[in-house]
Amino acid sequence: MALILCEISDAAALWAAARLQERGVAVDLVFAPTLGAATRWEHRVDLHSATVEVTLPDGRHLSSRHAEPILNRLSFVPVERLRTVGGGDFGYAVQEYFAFYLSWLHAWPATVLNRPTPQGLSGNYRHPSAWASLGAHAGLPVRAWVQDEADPPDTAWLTAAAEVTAFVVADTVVLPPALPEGLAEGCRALAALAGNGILGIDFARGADGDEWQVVGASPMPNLMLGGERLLGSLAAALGA
Amino acid sequence: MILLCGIRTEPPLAMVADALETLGVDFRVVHQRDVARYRIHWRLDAGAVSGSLDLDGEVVDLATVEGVYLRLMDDTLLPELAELTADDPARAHARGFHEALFRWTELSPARVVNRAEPQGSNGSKPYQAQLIAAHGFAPPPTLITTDPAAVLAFRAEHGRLIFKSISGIRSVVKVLEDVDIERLDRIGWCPVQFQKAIDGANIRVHVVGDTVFPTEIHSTHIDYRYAKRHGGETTLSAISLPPEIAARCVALTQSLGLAFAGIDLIRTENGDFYCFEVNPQPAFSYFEANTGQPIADGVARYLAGMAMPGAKRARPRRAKPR
Repeated sequence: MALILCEISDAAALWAAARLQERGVAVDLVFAPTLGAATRWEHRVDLHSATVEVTLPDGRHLSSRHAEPILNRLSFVPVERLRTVGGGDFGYAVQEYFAFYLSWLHAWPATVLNRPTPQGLSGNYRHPSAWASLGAHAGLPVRAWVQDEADPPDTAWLTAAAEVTAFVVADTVVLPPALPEGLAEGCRALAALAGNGILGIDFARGADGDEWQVVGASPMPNLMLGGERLLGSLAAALGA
Repeated sequence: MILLCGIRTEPPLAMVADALETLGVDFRVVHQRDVARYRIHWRLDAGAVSGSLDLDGEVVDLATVEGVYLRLMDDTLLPELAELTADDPARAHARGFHEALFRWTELSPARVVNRAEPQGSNGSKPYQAQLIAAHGFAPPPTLITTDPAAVLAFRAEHGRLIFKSISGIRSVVKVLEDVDIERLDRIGWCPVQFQKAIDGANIRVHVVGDTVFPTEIHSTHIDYRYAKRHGGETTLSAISLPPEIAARCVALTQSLGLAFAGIDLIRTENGDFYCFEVNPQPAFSYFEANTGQPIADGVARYLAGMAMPGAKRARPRRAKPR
């Protein structure tokens, strides 16, 4: 059994769940609002262990004592229930929940793709300049990044449109047919440097139209772009 | 060249500036209140960073910057911007400058105290506690729950408990009293963090590179930071740590990717050490002013790549696996 934590509207996660089930992989979908409505949480940390017990409103129980592998597609803490708190406490409650989710997902003693980081619940959502730096250190051709004070900070997060996406799942690289095999090792190295169990790496051709360059990456990629080869890697990584 | 980024008169930044002056190290203050007169431009190409910083007409080649001390306040709250509308060009300039400066510090090969990314663990205490435990430091037994019955059982097991926020927001430590038990059912709205109250001496260890500055804190209140506010008293004194504990502090700091940290320990009567938190932005001036420990000098020397004369250097040791 594998757990998939995702938003109700996460088409890529729903697609992966359906296709994995077609392959005979047992999948239990836990939608973010269901998790957010959990009726009981118990998370313990001491020198020797960290545990978690969650009771969901539909009666399901998640326990680190019987931990299943997780495909973690949570991009943010479920806030629907918190809205009832109201006032200035809402922002505080969101911060508390984020800190809590970061801890219990980190503690989960089975495979989690991806484990949370302080920069994102499903992995580190890096700035494009940080991906450019990591990509270069991984040995990949990377589009240059230029920034100055005139760049609006919000638009600085925008990257060039991707033409194709490569995937790394655990140690397996799924390259789209357009990319040369020689990029596989760099993709694997980038995922390792980034600390991601699953990573989508976006490529576009350079100005000369020949060289493929990294233009961005995401710890929560559109899985549908990876097709059946990605599903096979995902099933293997989830131990299913 | 060293850059000190923040408000010129803010105590930690001012103390590091004084220390650099004493050491004869070349530095510039990127004084946020002068942001209207600053420009920055940088480029990352094939992993190499280049660019320039224009400080009111003086241009600094970013390739010559060896160290950066970051004490930046929220630039949207700068007094110079207070009267301006949200879409004022001066606000856009200030935001754009700070964003570009911040992104450069994340990638620059300079010694940066501290980069933003490694500071993230401090935003979740139980998450950071797991990282701390991996280095052999015991966190206090911790329960985070929405279940009042679990709290009562935890209290029966451990005795006196404290409770505090899970995140870094509203981070005030309080003892769980009987009067709190009466309102325990409210935790169903949001998980609350409870910990066994550990009795012992509070110790703050400032770690700079591989140098430690341990300070023992005697306070009339469980959260010494707020003792004075509540009519209490706190006194500080410089101490030495067992070499193994000092080495563990350095290893923990380095493993979190931090160059400078304030680690909060409690030493029990039995000589056991518990670790509560690693603060990645320690406002050390309070400790230096009360103990004379040369922490600013340590930060200055780290930024400049200079050795600490006669300092206690702690060799990190490999932590025992959990």
